Amino acid sequence: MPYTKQNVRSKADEQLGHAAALASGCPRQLAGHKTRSVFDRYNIVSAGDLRPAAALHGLTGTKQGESGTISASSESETSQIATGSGQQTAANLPASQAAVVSTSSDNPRGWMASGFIGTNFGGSRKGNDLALIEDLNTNNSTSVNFGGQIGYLARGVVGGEFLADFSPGLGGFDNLLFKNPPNLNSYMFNLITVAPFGNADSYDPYISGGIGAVTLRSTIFTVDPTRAPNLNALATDTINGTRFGWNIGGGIMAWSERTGASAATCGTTRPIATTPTLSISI
Amino acid sequence: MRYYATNSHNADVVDLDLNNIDEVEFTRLELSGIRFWKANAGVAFRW
Repeated sequence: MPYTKQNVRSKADEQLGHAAALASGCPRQLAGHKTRSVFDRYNIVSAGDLRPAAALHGLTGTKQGESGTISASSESETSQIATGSGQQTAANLPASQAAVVSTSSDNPRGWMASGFIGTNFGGSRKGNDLALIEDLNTNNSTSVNFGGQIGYLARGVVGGEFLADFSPGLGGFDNLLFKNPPNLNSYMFNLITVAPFGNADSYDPYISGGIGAVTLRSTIFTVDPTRAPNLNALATDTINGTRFGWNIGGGIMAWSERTGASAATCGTTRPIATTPTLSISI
Repeated sequence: MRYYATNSHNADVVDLDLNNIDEVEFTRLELSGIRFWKANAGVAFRW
């Protein structure tokens, strides 16, 4: 490995990170990295690296039930400590031992899930002209929408997401054939990239875009309602349709990692691997 | 903020018999070339 500035700093991060696992010190500040994310990128800790740290903290031996002591005598169980995949990662550990868990190479920005609510606006149409049957209110009507997202960010900066949006009673695309405003839903598979900054309270500006499907569901009159004296007597039918679509968007996610079950490190807090963190996203 | 769009085609022209609406054709036309914006705020968890 060439002795470049980056390589030397990366190795220093590893060594300092290991030292931190032993002493809960301040490796990021010593290495000179300004942000948590850059330090995490180079702080590579293997299961084998953690074994002596776990031993130093008295984590050898066997599971002792309510005492919360963890066995680190095997590779797999040491990995559980490192990744937080086991159930015994944090809840029953004293703070000094929890620090061993939280200073491993757990990725603080892996899986995420969100729910959101908002509004649709600025509806328009390109290509065809449905003026014969369409009410001309596509540009000035809004309606509520809500949905959910699940995504994964590799190394905290790039990944994929699935977005599902639901817009019941979308007035923006009204039509005289609609008995009621339609439900317009979308299901999108996106690439997402973020530019995180901050530390205990971090901020993730993001942009994402991708392709998917837009679906429409409504009840329509099966004959021209303008020619009927009594709308209640007209026949109706429920329709469903799907069309290929795409989307692009962006915003910012503000994360608070000051959650209850966290381990103190250098005057800040980091979440235990299995502790979910809260975000307000726009 | 997010912008959505659906694809459209030159063949997407209105040719409906309003005395006997073809539901499939109507839906295809209604979804053709629509564009709209969404603005949302929410709460997320990560682990």
